[in-house]
Amino acid sequence: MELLIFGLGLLVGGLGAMLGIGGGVLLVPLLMGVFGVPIKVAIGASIVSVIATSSAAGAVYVGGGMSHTRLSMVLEIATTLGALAGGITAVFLSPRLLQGIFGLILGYVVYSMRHLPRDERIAQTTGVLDTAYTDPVSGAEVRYGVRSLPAGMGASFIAGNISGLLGIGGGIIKVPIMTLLMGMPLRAAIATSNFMIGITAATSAVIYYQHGYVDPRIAIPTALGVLIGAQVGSRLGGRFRTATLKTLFQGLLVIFALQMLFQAVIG
Amino acid sequence: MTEQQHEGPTPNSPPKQDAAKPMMVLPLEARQPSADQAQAGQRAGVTVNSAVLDMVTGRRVVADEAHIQAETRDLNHVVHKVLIAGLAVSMLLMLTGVGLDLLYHRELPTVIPSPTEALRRALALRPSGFLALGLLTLIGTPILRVVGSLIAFVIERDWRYAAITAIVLTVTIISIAFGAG
Repeated sequence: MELLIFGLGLLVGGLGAMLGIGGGVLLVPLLMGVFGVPIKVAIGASIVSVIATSSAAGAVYVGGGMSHTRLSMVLEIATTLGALAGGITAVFLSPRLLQGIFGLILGYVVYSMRHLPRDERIAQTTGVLDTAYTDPVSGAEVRYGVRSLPAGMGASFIAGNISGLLGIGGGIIKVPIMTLLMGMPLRAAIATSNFMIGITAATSAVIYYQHGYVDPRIAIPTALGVLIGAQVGSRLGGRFRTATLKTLFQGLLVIFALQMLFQAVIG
Repeated sequence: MTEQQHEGPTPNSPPKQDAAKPMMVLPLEARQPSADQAQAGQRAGVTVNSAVLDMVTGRRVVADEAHIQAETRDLNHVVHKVLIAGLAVSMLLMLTGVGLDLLYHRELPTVIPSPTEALRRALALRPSGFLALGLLTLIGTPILRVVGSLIAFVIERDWRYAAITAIVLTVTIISIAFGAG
């Protein structure tokens, strides 16, 4: 069974990296559906995998100066507080209620992927936390500052909360806010969000760990699989047309959302 | 401050050039330690021999912004190292655990031991010890990253960001305490 879970991790990690979306949203429903893992144990495995991918991606982004380290430190106050609250809540919530919330969030993820604009805005310096990075494609230096820091803090708290509650990264909530409201370039927003996910996930993971929801038989094969899968996926990403893959991914999410909601209501 | 504000490649030089060539030739006056440099050195809380610094980095620490950028780069460097090391160690521990487990033909354990018990088991070469230590290292990696940033900010005497980072660390410690309690 461990080998099959490892395979699942490979698949989810690869797909996640190719689509630029965390695999956590797929991991929990698949671990539950395919392997019959209880929801809190599935969340425990997912949160550990999220830490692994965020650390790997974070190391690359930070090495390249792509993530806004100072801004991430500020926003992490909000994400870790959210994760603390989310982790505590998740331990006490009934599995059915967790499933219901998971179903709703999956629905939001699909909505966000389809309807929220992802276009690059022209970077502007604002005098608040101005920074710069070198665009990997053009080689030009992009300078920008941030706007609406309070909105960013709010979104970060919610993202951290959902991350702690459901074992997903929460980038799907932060990235749109960071680009649309805070005026960050997309690349920088993704890198910064990814970087913040590590400490956010670790904050709730320690709660899951100590309550016995991090099962080594499930968490370790998942984490190893996702980590390796993500490395492969990020190299393959540029070579394939991802449009069909994206539609397939969204289709899966809709099915999982309905399944989660159905189980939450019917039991 | 005028010009010279951003370090790194000048607009008409190809990018990444000066990282590869630290011994950039600067005009003589640029190599003289200026009042600004002394001030920047003091702010960082370290005595910097500006002439040597210029020779090594190929740039001048002139303005506040340049100083912050250099500091951010040092910080990024620390964070990068901690993340890579943490990942490598945790992967190694987990793979050792899985390898030993296969060797002994045992089922992987379902319950994870406490950190001290995990260490004891690992010392006795039991797979469950390595697996638990691997997981703990993985979870601990981002926490160590925050500790590393905090130390970097304190060394740089950047008190505002040291405080911000300390708050993040406190929240994580509260979480650990809650989990235990």
